[in-house]
Amino acid sequence: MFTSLSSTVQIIIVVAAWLLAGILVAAWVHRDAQRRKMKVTLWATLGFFLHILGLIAYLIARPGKQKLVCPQCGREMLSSWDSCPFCGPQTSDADGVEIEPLTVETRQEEGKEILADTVSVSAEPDTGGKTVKLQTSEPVLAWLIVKEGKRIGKEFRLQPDVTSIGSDVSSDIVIDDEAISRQHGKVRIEEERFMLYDLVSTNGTFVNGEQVAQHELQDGDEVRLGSTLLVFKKI
Amino acid sequence: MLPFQIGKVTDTGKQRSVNEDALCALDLSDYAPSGEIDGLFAVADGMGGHAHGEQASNYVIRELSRLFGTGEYQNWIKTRHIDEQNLPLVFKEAVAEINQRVYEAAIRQNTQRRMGTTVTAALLSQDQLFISHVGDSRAYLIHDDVISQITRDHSWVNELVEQGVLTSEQAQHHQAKNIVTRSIGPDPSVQIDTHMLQVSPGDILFLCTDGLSNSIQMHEIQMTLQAHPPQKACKRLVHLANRRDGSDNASCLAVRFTENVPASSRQKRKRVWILLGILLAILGAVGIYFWML
Repeated sequence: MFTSLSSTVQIIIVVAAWLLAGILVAAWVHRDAQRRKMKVTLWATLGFFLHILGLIAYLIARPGKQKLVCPQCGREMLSSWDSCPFCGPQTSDADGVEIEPLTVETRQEEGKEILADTVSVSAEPDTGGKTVKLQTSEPVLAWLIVKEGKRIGKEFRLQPDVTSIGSDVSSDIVIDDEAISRQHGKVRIEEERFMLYDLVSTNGTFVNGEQVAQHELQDGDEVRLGSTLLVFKKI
Repeated sequence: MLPFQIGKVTDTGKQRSVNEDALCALDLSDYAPSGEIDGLFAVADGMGGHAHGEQASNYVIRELSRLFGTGEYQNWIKTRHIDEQNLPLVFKEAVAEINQRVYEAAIRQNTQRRMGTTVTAALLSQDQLFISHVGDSRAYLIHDDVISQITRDHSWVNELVEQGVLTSEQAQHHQAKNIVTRSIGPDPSVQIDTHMLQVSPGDILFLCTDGLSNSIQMHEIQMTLQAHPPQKACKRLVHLANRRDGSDNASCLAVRFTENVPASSRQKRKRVWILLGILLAILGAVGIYFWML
């Protein structure tokens, strides 16, 4: 069938097929080499001219385990990552606000400087689609501080309305103590009074050594839940 | 370990000049230093003007990546006296400390506007997902052909919805829909919502900022995620959000959990396909040659 065509047409068909095959192979190799950060031009050219042979050569040459390197820190990255976990996304640094990274050392706190200023942010009337924070009330200046237990010195600031306490991670104050119930107790602010409630916990709630079902917390009160002792501090 | 495919897209939108959203999706299943963590997925929507929002959201994502993506959390928890096995608490505490850092930075800089960001982040360990969430970005899960919104929006309009004052559709179009009641940064301590989910093959986790969820319905998200691979689905959803609105940055990431196929058989199958392809090509060439004779 092919031979019945004129020789010119035959040549055109053969050349077109060759070009098409070359383009297809080159395109595939180009995309793959780009992902693997290999020499894209070299392999795509080989693929275009040598077709199957070029493809075979590329498949043999490409690394089995894809190795990428972060351009910022030089650490090896997995191929499935498109951002380096050590460096993260880059900021435009417009105003250069420096935020301290989390460190592995325990932070030293000199005294207990409490910031008494309000942290209210007025909500703009026309946000134009941008997320803004609602005007908030002043922070509550009351804490429960761990005096005995796993995390001595840990301060838990009380929430404006209700602060839940328990071993369940959903609690506002999470205490990892087997003797503490998942929902052990709560502190509710009622007309400027700090009311502590026991939520029918298994091992009970004790204030200054005495078991309570509810109690109005005073500055310095020692609250025992399980094997953890917390001190209530108020300003 | 449950294998998964990831897709993620972030877009500045049509009206903003800066993208204050940040996201990360890390597959850590082949990365030994990450310890028990097999994946980290997070979105953050920054706020505060003067690119402070961008700095806050990028900071949150970077710190989460650094802590959990590199395995550094294992050292970090030792000095915080948190049990390493209690991953949900580790995650929550990390977000709490990140909040403190952002707050302190704003105080130090004496920025007139407090900088802040939402964060909705998920940690994957085997087939368990631990979610920590503050703000109005969202996490959805598709399981057994049903999509559910896992997180609760910490927004003023959502509080009205919960009180029955607004319907959720009214909330989507409300002029005050972008006002959040909780975020990372403005306050020294913040209440963080946590969720724990068990995932199985076929499930899809979807995280997005409000720039996307404000203009796309839940059933549309489900249809798109089920019809396309994660990356393509994310592109389509962001494109749709821009077409419908585009006034805000829009970002999303999708994680589709797949069947557990052992790596060795995957490699084997790949090699078989390559050999078959080569064989077909050779046969094809030979066929064309003889046909031309």
